[in-house]
Amino acid sequence: MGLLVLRLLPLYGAAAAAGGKQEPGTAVVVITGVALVFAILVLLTVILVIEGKVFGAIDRRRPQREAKKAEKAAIKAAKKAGLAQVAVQPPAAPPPAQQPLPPQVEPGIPPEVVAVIAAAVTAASGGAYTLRAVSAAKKGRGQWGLAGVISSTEPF
Amino acid sequence: MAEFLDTVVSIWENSGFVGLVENPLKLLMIGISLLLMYLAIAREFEPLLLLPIAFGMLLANLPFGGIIHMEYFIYDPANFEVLAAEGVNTAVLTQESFPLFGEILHNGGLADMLYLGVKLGIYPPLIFLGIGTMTDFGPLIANPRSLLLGAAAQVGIFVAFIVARLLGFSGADAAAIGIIGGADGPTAIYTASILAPGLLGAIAVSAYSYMALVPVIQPPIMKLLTTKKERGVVMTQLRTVSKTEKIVFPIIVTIVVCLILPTATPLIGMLMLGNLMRESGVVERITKTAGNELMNIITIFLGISVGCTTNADTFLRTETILILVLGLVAFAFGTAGGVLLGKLMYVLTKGKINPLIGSAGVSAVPMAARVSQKVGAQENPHNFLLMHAMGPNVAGVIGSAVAAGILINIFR
Repeated sequence: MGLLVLRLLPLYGAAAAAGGKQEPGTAVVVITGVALVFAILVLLTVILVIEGKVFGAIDRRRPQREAKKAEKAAIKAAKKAGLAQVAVQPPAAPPPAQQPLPPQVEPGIPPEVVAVIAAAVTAASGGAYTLRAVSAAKKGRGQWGLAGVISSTEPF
Repeated sequence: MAEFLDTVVSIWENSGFVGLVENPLKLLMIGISLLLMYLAIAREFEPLLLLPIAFGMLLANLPFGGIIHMEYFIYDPANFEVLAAEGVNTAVLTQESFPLFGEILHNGGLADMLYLGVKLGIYPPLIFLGIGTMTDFGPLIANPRSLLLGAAAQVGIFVAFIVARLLGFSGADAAAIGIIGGADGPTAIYTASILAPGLLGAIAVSAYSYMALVPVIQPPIMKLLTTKKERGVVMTQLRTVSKTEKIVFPIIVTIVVCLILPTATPLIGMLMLGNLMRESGVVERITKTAGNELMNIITIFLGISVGCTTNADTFLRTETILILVLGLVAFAFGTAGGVLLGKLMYVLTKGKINPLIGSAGVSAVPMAARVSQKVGAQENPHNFLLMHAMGPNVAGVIGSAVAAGILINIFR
């Protein structure tokens, strides 16, 4: 027991000489090592979080940018190809307004929830999409989904 | 007739049998090499490396084969007599004189040349290049907190380091032994070749044996430290990671880690180069070469040369047994460190993180992640933790390379 305690002492000692080079004590190595490993990996974590946010924002803007680009390209093409023709043609009659069908709602879902989902869909798509049906999410994976996950993770 | 008998006697005297009679410990080493071959072939314990290591061990211990001359590589006054007999002026030899490149190139054999790749730190980074081409850092990028689990699992390295110091190993030797806890063969070999070349064989055998035993060592520790409820946590699906993020990741990691810790550059640099080659998608040919042909060739070279360093004099020592025990300590504490931080994350995220993924932080890709998946699936067969565990798993590769860089920086 006494020997063990004596051996523990270098943990708190200053340094031991090794081949002429001063070697740090065990405690110093452990504290420095653990602290540095964590510090470097925490730094990488922060960088990854920032990277994720930056690229996430870029990805979110991408569809809008692409839509704008496509719109601009379409206008350009229209101008080049036959703006005069378009100008002389009488404006087409507007298509008859269709009354949107009410969404098919699974029994048990309250109308307030349907209203919220419909509002969210309209807000997110800018009015481009309409809610057609609402059904409760299935708990867990279906058999086919499960089979798919198993087959793709089995090689690991 | 007399001439015939003289010739037969001469052949007998030059045969390996006489060497075995002179040094029976070599027989024991041959027995150990056969045991390792059995484990590699019949039990499939990391066979890609354990098989060439075991065969290298066999070759090195067949007397008079002269396949490797460790006296050219390691400074040890006990070898000076042998060196003097070969015409080396031992009076001028110092620690800095080694390796004796002139002697290696003039008198060296096959394994001497191959071992230069270990000694000069060439093979492990090249293996990391191949690993980089096969690693998907997507799960880690999608869940950056995984990096912390990869850091926590490195605790085993430092626990083993403390125990090794208590057992009387020098700082450099203890550091090389501790790295076994990183569960990363190339990193362990790289660190041992720099800090403790005399212990390289024992460290490599220990590291690869325990890596193969991950499915046996980890589950009891994981179950001991977690509750049934914690093990049953189903984690939410990871977000999709864009190609740009995957391309930027290796570049950022290389710059950050190598600026802070230049000694980790060969390992981290090669790992990230391999990954950049994979993710960029523009160098398919060399990506395939790095991940297949090059890696296979290096694996053969590495295995044989490491195996050849294990001769009876350096391997059959108390230190080897201690290294095997310390390797187990390192693995166990590494697993515990990861799981305990996973438990902390479980509490902090109000039950969104399954602590089982923490154990994958010990590297051993993808075996440790597979163990997390299996233990999790025992509680809930519909729970798929594999991709969540791959995050800490690849973070562990970075973490162990960082830890190795720190220890090399301190003790070299």
